[in-house]
Amino acid sequence: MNIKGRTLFDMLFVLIFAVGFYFSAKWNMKARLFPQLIVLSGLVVSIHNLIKTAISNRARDNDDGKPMQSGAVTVPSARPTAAPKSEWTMILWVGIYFCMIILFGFWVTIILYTVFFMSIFGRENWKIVTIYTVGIWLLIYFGLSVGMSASLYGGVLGLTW
Amino acid sequence: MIEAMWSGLHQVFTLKILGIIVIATSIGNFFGAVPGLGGTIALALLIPFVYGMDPFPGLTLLLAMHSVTSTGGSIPGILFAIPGTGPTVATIVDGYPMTKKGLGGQAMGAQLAASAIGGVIGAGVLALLIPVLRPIAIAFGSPEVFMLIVFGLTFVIILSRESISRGFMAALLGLLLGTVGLDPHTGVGRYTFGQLWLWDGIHLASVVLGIFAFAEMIDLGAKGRGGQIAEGNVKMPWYQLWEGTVAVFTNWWLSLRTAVIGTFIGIIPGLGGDVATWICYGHAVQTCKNSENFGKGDIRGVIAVETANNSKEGGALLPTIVFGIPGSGGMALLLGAFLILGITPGPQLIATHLDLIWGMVWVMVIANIFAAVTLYPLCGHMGKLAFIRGSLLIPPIMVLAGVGASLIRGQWQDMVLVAFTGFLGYGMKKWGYPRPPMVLGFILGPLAEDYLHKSLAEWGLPFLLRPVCVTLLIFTVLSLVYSIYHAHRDKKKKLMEGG
Repeated sequence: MNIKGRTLFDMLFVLIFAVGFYFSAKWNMKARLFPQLIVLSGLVVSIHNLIKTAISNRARDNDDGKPMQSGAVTVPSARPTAAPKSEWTMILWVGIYFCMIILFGFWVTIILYTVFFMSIFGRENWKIVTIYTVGIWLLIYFGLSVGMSASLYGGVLGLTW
Repeated sequence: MIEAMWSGLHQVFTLKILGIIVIATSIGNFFGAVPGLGGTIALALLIPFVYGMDPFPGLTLLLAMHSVTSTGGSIPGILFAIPGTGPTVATIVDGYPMTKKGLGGQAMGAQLAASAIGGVIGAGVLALLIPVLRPIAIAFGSPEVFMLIVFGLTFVIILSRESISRGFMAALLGLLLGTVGLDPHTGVGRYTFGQLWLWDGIHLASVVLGIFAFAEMIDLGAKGRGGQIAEGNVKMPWYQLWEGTVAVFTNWWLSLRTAVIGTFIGIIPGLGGDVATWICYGHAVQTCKNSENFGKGDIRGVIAVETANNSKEGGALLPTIVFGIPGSGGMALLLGAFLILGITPGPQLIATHLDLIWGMVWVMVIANIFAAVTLYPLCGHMGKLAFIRGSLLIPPIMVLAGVGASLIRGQWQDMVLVAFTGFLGYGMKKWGYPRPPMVLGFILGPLAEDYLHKSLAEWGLPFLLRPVCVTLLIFTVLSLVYSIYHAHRDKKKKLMEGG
């Protein structure tokens, strides 16, 4: 049986509920009553779901591309997704965004991220990139920092405005 | 009563009060539309400004602003799947798919009209219920509220007809995330892993911004630089706004029902708007004909949620002014503002200042209508954003969502949480896990646990035998059976159609 992305994702749920059960076992009865109700139900449903997916995958492998039998267990079809390459590229961009916030804080990240994303990912004209970057930065500055006196996170480097 | 009603109206129709309503609704719309802000933060920021004001203008500023935050809050939800406020999450379920189909104008027209009507009906029901509230409020103790929450949880099935087991898993994960933090009953740190910042638990915004906003941005970016939210290259015509508005009136019976249900849920302290919107959404799915399109862009889903979203504010105001028990977090702040302005809520207020209460009712009515009317010309332009290419749309939205997430507590750890829920949300979207049940579980979990412990402490397990509890239990079972039956019937139908 091929291990597919969906199966791995199903397994993640089993793992989360199993870890949840392991940690909840250490608490007193009152504190663990509700979480254990959740994780035990979660384990039952997620294992059932995992088995269902595995059976479905095996049936598909056996059918070798033939349409499924009406009695076979159906799994909701994933919507048509983008090419895996662009998907991973975007996940990487989101990861970079959060790393930049944690490191540089918002004031610097807004500029760096907008410039890099629009130039590299979007291949946008430098004029649009400049207008966009300045516009977003000023919107956040006047809307939040000046208007609401909100203090935005300055990152590990403490780059606050 | 009639005299108080006219006196209240007379107080409102002055240039000063109407001017305050105009300013307050603009502020409310802005705070609602920016993810992570919302009415509670707006109230917290505005309360210092009412010091020294006369009671009625001060109340008008806060009440008008707070009662319309949901109107503006649904716009980013419909356009970008970014909920401006918590209760508007339910609007995304049908509003965002409509935008993707190029029907964002209809969704927004329906949203604005439904919000205005919901707000007006909520205020009307508030006015009618003031004399009869006492027995209703007394009838709902902890056991009844717990059973009402359990009833709300059954909507997990309604929200996940495509895959019931995955819907359950998502809801259970939401419930599990809701238990993170110090247990309020025992002080035990649950799933905190020795991290101080987790003691306060996970904030709703971290979950919602991640699984909706960032997941949608990943999805949009994965389409490449030319990808856009709405399919095709359709412009958003004005007639769509009109069609959406008309749909609220053609579905008048649904609008009325959900507005009244929303008001009644708003009355029950502690439940809040999130529960009201989800229960009304579930009610619409269960009672409307041809319900298979719910969750895929059915305008009735938007109408049901939005009428409840604004009407619940009228309901929440009821226990606040009559008993001094705030019906929601925002109302708790409003209660504090009442005291600052020299108004002591309670039965005495009804006896001596009925005109003031009627004044509040009129303020809510006018503010709701005004907020919707002012947003009509703006949202037509805002809707065109759905057709902008991803490379131009992703940076500002990610910045706005990131800033929204950081404003909650100002901790970098919240960024990690949002990133985690964002990737999780994308995985859920990709692998057919419905996301709304997770949010529903997360919202209802802590409330359910709290009321369960209170009920057990007060009554023991026999709390389930209280008359209202038994009635709600029957409704819960019926709702479950009906939903599972429907889900199986739909699946069977699909298989038959597929040959």
